[in-house]
Amino acid sequence: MSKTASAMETLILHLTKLPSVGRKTAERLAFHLLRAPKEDALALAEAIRAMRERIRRCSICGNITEDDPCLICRDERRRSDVVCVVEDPMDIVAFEKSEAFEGVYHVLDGCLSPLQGITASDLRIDSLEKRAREGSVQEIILATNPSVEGEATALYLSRLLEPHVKKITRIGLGVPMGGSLEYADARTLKKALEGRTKVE
Amino acid sequence: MLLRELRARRFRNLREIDLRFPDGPVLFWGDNAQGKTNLLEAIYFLATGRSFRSRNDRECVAWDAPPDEAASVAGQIERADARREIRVVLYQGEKRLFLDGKPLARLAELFGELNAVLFTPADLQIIQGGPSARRRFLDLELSQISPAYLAALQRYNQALRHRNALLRGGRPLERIALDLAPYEAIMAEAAGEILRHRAAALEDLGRRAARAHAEFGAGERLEISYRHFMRNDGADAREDVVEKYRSRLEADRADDLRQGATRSGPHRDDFLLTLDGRSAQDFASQGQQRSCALALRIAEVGLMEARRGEAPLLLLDDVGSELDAGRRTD
Ligand SMILES: [Zn+2]
Repeated sequence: MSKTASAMETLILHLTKLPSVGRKTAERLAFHLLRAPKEDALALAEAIRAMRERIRRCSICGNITEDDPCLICRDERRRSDVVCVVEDPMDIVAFEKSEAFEGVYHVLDGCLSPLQGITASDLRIDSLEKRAREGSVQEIILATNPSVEGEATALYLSRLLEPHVKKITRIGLGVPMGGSLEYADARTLKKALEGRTKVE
Repeated sequence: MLLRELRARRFRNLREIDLRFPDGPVLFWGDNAQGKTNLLEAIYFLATGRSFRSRNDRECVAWDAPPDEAASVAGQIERADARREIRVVLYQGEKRLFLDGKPLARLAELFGELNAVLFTPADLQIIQGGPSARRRFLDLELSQISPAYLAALQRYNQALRHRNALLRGGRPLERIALDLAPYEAIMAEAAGEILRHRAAALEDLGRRAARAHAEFGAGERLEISYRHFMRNDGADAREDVVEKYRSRLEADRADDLRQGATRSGPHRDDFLLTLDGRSAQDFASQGQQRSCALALRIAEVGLMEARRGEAPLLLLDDVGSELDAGRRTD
């Protein structure tokens, strides 16, 4: 039997499922929410509920959005003929913070990994190929992570898309090797974009 | 490079030890099974983040340690350029590394902080054992002196695992050709780097080992030759093999698919030790083989010192049998 009341215990168990939250942190957070003004605690619960109900995927790029297509895809000032391919919607957040990119995105939802059984059909590659085939895309920038899996995915995509797109580039310079784009700072990403190279 | 302090908790039979070391050599003596080798294993763990005796870290945790208590080793290192504290914690099947109290995200970040060369009676396996024993020797040496080598090796191994997974996936060749190409490109690029490092290191080690061996007073001439993965393709170890190896992988696809494994590459490399031109593995006596192993370790110390600008920490297990090898030439 647990020593904490059951509603409290339930919350603690849910909190421990969050990334980098251990049992101790979960307990601290739960007791914080208990002592905080009731409106604040309920506002958090409501925010989580609203987020889950309203957020969906953009049907063009796969970004997370409330309205479909997303704000980036609808923005007419952006260059819709330059597509930056990323693994994760979180990477878009990082690129947008850098304010260095005026094109649009395409989210793959991961990268190829034969070891984990992740193949091209598990990723949003079909929809990317379709976008490329439509002929209006002038440049594709491959911004997958600099891991072995990210590199392999970039090489795979460059071969796949070569017949349809004039210019295919890979970000490189400045991105920490073996790192994750999520943790790269804005200046690093800006440099990485400027230093993109043609994929051989 | 000096080890100033060593603390171990629940590491094998080292329940709780706190040691401070003076300048100069340190000697431990005692009966068997008291933990002398465990002590060296703990120190070696700080240098390489793993055991030299077992593949499974769990074996290093005291068998009677309660499951919620961690096993740990910590050492104060004194280098010419810095002082460092390295700590390795084994807890519930996980390994955590700390440098000056800060957690390290990857094992690779530990390499080079403490350079150590271990002399053990098991070194005989480098001469007597299969190619994997010699690759292990080479990889541990090079990883400690070159982060670029370690990075290339890890990239190669990861891409190799993906390629093998595709080969074993049960799909026909025409369906996986497009999937194989990226991993082959990554493997080829990394393999070129690995070959360059191994060739240079073996050339250097060969010279140093021959000199050490001659100093033992042994009459035979010790030589080391690199049996690298591209020699059957007529490639020289000094040339750029990236494109050649990529073509080899592509040409091998059908055969590799049948075998369910990648047959050629740095993961199959070997090197040969000869005494007056005859294989030490096949023709030398056990005493001669011990001398070869010892010469190789001495060469390793020399190479490490030359590359790092500082002598590594020497760990000698069972000194008597090791030093004997230097004199025995039967
Ligand atoms: Zn969109």
